[in-house]
Amino acid sequence: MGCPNNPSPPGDAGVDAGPMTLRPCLDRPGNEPPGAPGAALPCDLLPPSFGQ
Amino acid sequence: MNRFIVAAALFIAALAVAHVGTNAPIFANATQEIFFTVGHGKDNADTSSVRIQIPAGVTAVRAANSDFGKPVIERGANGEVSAVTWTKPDADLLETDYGYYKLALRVRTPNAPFTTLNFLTTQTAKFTDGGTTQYKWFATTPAEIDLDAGIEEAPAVRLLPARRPGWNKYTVPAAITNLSQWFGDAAIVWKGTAAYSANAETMNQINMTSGVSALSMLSANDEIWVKY
Repeated sequence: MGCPNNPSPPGDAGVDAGPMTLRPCLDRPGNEPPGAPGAALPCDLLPPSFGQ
Repeated sequence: MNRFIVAAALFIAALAVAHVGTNAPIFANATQEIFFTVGHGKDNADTSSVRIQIPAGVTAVRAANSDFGKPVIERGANGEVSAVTWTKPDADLLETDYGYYKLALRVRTPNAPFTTLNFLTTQTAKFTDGGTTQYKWFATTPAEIDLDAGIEEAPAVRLLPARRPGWNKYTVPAAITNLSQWFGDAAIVWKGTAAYSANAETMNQINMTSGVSALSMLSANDEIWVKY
């Protein structure tokens, strides 16, 4: 797969951030969160062979 | 493939006339139900009978009872079911054309994904004076349509390959020029770095993604990734 989903960063010290959550990977230029105007394809719509 | 039953009904309308529709998705090499929906009669007369021809390669045919009563089967030279007819008793005919009917077959489809099965169908409507009129849903190409002769588009079932949620890899056996007909319920289809989706928002994202182009058709032997 193109790039993995990244876990959200840990919460502030002393604060329980709750369960780990996943967000679309943001390491590709222009890969803004889904729904944003002008957003490129999210990683989960990239095929396993992409970028190989 | 293990036996399973698909029971999703979808009425397919084309041209300016509601056709005898079928449900989707239907999978190759699988036992499942196929529904034929009759959306109207003819010339304001109620439908009195429907005869559906079974295309070659379709086996293990069983027909369900319907508003038309018990089905009657015909067999070919080798004993295979070649056609099924449902006929409504005259006493049950509606005085005008306001009925909607759903006819069901359970069949085993051939192992031929990305091909189309045409179920040639004769629909007879009967007037209150006993006269009859017919639609011949026989045309498998636009050129075969002859409205004056009552010949219109045959109910068509597109056979899809087996799938699992997530990514599926296929090789298409023949060219596909209308991707929406085969991949309308897929999240996205990829061929190399070109992609297609029936979802307009996803198509916008495809157009906004660097290094990716829009996919409009497939050629024979193309290898594709499809996500469901």
